[in-house]
Amino acid sequence: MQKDFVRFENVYKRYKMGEVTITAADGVTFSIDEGEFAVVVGLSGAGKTTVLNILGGIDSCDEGKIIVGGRDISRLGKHDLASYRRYDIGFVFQFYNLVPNLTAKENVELATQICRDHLDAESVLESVGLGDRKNNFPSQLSGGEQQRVSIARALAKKPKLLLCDEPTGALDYNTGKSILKLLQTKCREDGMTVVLITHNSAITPMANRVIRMRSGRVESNKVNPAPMPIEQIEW
Amino acid sequence: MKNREKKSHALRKNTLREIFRTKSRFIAIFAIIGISVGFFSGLKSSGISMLATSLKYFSDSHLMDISLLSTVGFDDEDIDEIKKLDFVDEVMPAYAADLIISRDEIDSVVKVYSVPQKTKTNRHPINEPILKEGRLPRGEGECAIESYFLGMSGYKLGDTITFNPSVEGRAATEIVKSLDFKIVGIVDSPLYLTYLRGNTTIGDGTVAFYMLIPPEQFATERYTAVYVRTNASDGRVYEFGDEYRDLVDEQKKEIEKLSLRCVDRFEATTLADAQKKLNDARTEYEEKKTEALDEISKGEKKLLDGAREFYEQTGDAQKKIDDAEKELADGKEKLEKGQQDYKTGIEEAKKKLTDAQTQYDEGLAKYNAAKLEYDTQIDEAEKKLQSAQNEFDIQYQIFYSSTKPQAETKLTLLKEATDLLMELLQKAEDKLEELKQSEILGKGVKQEIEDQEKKINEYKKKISEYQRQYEEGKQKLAEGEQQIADAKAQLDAANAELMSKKAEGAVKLNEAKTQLDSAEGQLANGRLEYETALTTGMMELQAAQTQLTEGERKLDEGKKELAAKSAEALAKLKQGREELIKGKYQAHVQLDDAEKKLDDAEGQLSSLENAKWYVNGRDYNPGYSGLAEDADRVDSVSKVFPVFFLLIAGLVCFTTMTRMVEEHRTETGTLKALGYSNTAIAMKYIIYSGAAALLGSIVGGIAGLFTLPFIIVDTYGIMYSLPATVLNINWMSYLLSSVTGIVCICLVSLFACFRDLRQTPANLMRPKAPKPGKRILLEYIKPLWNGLSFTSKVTARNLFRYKARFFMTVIGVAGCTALMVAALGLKDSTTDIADKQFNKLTMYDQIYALSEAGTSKENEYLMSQFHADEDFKSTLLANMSWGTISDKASGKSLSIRFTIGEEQKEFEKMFILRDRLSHEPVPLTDNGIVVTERTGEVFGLKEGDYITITLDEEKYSCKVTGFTENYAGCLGYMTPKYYKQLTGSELKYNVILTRLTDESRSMERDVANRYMKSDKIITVTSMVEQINTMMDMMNSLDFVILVMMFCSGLLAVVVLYNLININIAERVREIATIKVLGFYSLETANFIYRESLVLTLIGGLAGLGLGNVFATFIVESIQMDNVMFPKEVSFMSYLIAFVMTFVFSMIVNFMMYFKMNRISMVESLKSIE
Repeated sequence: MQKDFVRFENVYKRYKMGEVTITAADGVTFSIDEGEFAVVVGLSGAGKTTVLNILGGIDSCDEGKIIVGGRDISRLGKHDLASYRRYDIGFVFQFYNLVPNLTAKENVELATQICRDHLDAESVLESVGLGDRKNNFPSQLSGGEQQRVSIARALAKKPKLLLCDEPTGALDYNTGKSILKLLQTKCREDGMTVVLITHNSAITPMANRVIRMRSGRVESNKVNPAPMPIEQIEW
Repeated sequence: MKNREKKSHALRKNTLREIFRTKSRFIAIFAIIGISVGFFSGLKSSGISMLATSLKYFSDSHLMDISLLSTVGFDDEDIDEIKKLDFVDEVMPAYAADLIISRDEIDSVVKVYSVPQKTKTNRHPINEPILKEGRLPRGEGECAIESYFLGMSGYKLGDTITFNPSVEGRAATEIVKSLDFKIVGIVDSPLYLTYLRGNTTIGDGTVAFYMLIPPEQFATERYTAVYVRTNASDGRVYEFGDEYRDLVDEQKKEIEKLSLRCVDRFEATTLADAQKKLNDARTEYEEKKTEALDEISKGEKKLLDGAREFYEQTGDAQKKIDDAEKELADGKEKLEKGQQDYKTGIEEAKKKLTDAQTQYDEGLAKYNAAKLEYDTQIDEAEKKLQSAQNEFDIQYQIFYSSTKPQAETKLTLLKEATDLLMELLQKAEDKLEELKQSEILGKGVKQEIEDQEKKINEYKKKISEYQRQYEEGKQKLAEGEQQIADAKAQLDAANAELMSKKAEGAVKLNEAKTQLDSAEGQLANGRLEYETALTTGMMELQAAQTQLTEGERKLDEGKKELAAKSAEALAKLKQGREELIKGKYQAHVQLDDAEKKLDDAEGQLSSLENAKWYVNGRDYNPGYSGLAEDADRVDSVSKVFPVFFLLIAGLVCFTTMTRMVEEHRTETGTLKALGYSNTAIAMKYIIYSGAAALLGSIVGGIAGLFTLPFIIVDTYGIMYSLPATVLNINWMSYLLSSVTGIVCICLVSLFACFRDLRQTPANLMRPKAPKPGKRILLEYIKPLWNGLSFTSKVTARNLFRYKARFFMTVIGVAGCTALMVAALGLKDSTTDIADKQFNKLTMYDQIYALSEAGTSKENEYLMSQFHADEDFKSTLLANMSWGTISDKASGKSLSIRFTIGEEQKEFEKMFILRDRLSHEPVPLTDNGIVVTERTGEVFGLKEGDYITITLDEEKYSCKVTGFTENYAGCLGYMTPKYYKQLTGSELKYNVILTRLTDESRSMERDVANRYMKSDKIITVTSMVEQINTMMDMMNSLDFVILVMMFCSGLLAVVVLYNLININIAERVREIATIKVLGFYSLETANFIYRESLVLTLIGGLAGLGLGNVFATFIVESIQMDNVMFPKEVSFMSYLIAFVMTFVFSMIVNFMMYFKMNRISMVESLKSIE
């Protein structure tokens, strides 16, 4: 397991909103080891989404270095970034972002078809417990199911890094719990590095590492030596 | 109230902000409405602008409403009568004539008009020409020519145009006062709107150009034309409309009524006067003729008398001369006889003399001969005698001196020898006897005896020999002596004979001599006599000769005198006769002239007898009706296209607004929740879209109205000679299209937001559930669906997900493709027809118009010349004449040109009669006529139908046996046999059509010039010029086509841009998501493009079909009665339209690529609105 698999070094991100400059990431520095389940927690506007976006190659930073698996992605060009997203990153969105016109299986295939080394769409769907819903359209699935499809889509690419942006934000408590369970299982069983952002501090005990953010800065970066199984966590 | 204002104020602000925030959407609506309205109103205004330009031209130039022509011309009284009609505003009499000019040995017919003149009643002359350059002709020998012609010919301002001195057998100076006219101005006459110059009865039948000369320059007395302006054109009615036509038709009828009166008056007065004058003139002529003939016969009599006298006098003189001549001849004859006699006498005398001489000479010769003979004989005899004497003497001598003594000696010797021998013999005989005695005594004496005996014998023998010889000698001697004695005797006898003969001969010779001498004397006498006679005869003859010569000289003198005298008399007679003949001839010429003039006058009078006025409206002007047709054509094009544009605009706006309303769902909910009325909320969208549409229609309208009519009218201006374009805005169309556009957009907006407005605010504020994914029909076809790639499946499903947009895009794209196909199809229809017409169908290069129409027999010789010329590939004797084809039922009537070829084989080389589509030959039989396809279409004819044609003012009903491919002109064909069958008369051919071996222009001119020298050929028409004219005409449509293409392209771009834009906007989240998934830019773009390409493909294919319908419709609506546009869209055009559609689609896609690249992936993280 590589240490400091993900490393942020003094990362800045500023948004210009008219005349006002908002500094979303104000010298963010942290690192995550490989295979860890890391949770980035903070209030709205603390810069956690910005960090995730930059880490996922969706957004760029203005200053600093982001090293993922020994590679500095902060200097990558557009095309390399796309490749980085394609082969290294799996993204799970808060609102699932499934293509409504595609079935569950097709949504997974949408990801796998561009990957050289990928998992079989159907088996991934089965592994997330949707083996029998693979031919349903998103509109025919519940929110949790849709999120599972989303996770399946992310996992199918065999990413090095699974990034989840409030994956339970649009889900009810139990469904959310089951999704988190799925993610924890995937992390533990497959050794997948998972970075999850949430505003809900309650779920931090399940993580290997908890990074707290406030006003664009990393408040704390703690390793949890004994993460709790999700079933034991109540909030 | 205040509140409300505030409220609406806030909303308005919101709307305004919305406009600025979503510029591209606003611009899309603006543009599509702008293009549609601009194109529609622009095109709609083009046709009427063309007409307005013409109408302004007509009113500015005071174009006549009615033109009058008459078989007898007009006089001032007629003019006054016309003026009296209550609807007539202005009347202008004028002159017009067709004359011929020769340029490069090619004749062209020129229409000469008088310069329109102001009259008391009108401030502007009717048909006032536009002066382009120079000034109007005023004085003698000045003219103005039309600008169109000026461009084509080499003439310049200041050049002189010279008319041919004769026009169809008439002197040109009977029509115009001089033949040379200097060009002082360049004009355009409103009578001619196009390049068409109309037909004429002279030359090759077509007017090449027109010119104006001052009216005083016409030699004709009566006006040839009258132009009338009526109240029809005082602005009350639209002059291209039916009302105007009806009004003018009525007025024409009125004038026709008036014309009957005027003609009656003309016949009663002018004609009657003329008749009377003519009759008087004829009477006078007859009198004068009689007088003149009398005088002539008198002169003739005098001449005859003189001649007779002359011949009498000369007769006497001649007789005398003849007598003298006879006498002289007698004398001559006598002389000749005397000469002859003298000659013969002399000849005879000479002959006698010669005979005598001859005789004498003969006698002399004989005498001489005889003498010579005598002398010779005597001489010979004497010589013989002498030699005999001499020989005798010698013999005598010899004998007596030697022979005799010798013989005597010998004889003596012989005697002695015999005596000796006798002694010996005795001795021997003695011994023998001794011996013989001895013998008896002894032995040995025997031998000696024998020897002795022998000796004795020998002696004895010798003695006898000697004795004989002696005897012989003795006898010989005696013989010799005898001989001598004989010879002596003989000699003597001969001597005696000679003597006697000598004497005798001498006597005879003497006698002869005497005779000869006397003959000589006689001969001398005769000679003398002859000599004398010769001299005297000669002298006598000479005297007679002299006399005769004298007589002859005298006769000659007499003759000469007579000749001189008679020549003098004869000259006088001749002069008299010549004078008479001359007088007679002059008299006859004068009489003939007078008679011809009388006959002409009579002919003219008789031609004047059935006087008739031709009352024509404006549509009689060449090109006039074409103008309205062309304007209609532009209108037809503008009917289809822009309507389609508006339809597409509506569709595009609907999608756009639906999208907009959807985007503002939350806002709508919020506003509703805040308590705004539905109307107020809807107003936002209505104002938004309405403002875009209004702005679009204003800007588009201005752009369209101020460009298209000018472009199109100017383009047509190539064919028409019109002044600067007058813009006539079709406000109705503009307002209609604008209002339709705006209202449509507003309604569409209303409709779009209506759905949302019905919902509760709470519902609205919740994000709208995305349209659920659905299986599409295709998925149920498992084998096909499974065969598709993943991306294809995605594309297919997306395509059918938004059906409205699918159909809209397809319709939009199809529309663009269709417009392009139509535009290109129109081009296809118009491009090749000149080439096809002249290179594939009517292939003759030249028309030689015969100066006199004749039957094939009459043209046999001429044709043989043409046939023999190697410059011609083929030649055809033909009849080409204009007729009318009409249909009573529909009231339609068209000018049709019939071609009747003499030889079917040659005809087929010049005219290809075939079906347009199948190219199957259309047979021309003796049973009917073949007409052009378009003609058949116009009259709705089927094979075997009967149609009325008018040829030489006679109506015939013809059977139509076929329709042939043809593009330009209304043409008909028949065989000479059918013509005969139809008209009952023998066909007279009037042209020779040729195809050249070498079709170059220079060759064409060369050959034409060669034949123009023949008086059998009157004009040569080259087809090259016709081809050019037609090409020009077709090219002018190109611009309209280009405009259409441009607008179609613009439409395609706008429609596709808008649709793809909406597509992208709706799927921003999806696009962002797939970007996050790691799709590269191109892959992301393809995700969208694939759909738009498929839509373009479907739309394009649909557009090809639609385009065909469009093209057909447009071609149908623009084609003229005498021009056929093939309704064929070429494969190339389909291909180009299709490819162009794709190119437009690609351009739009390319523009979209950047837009898609700019979509931030952060979008994907946003919550659903």
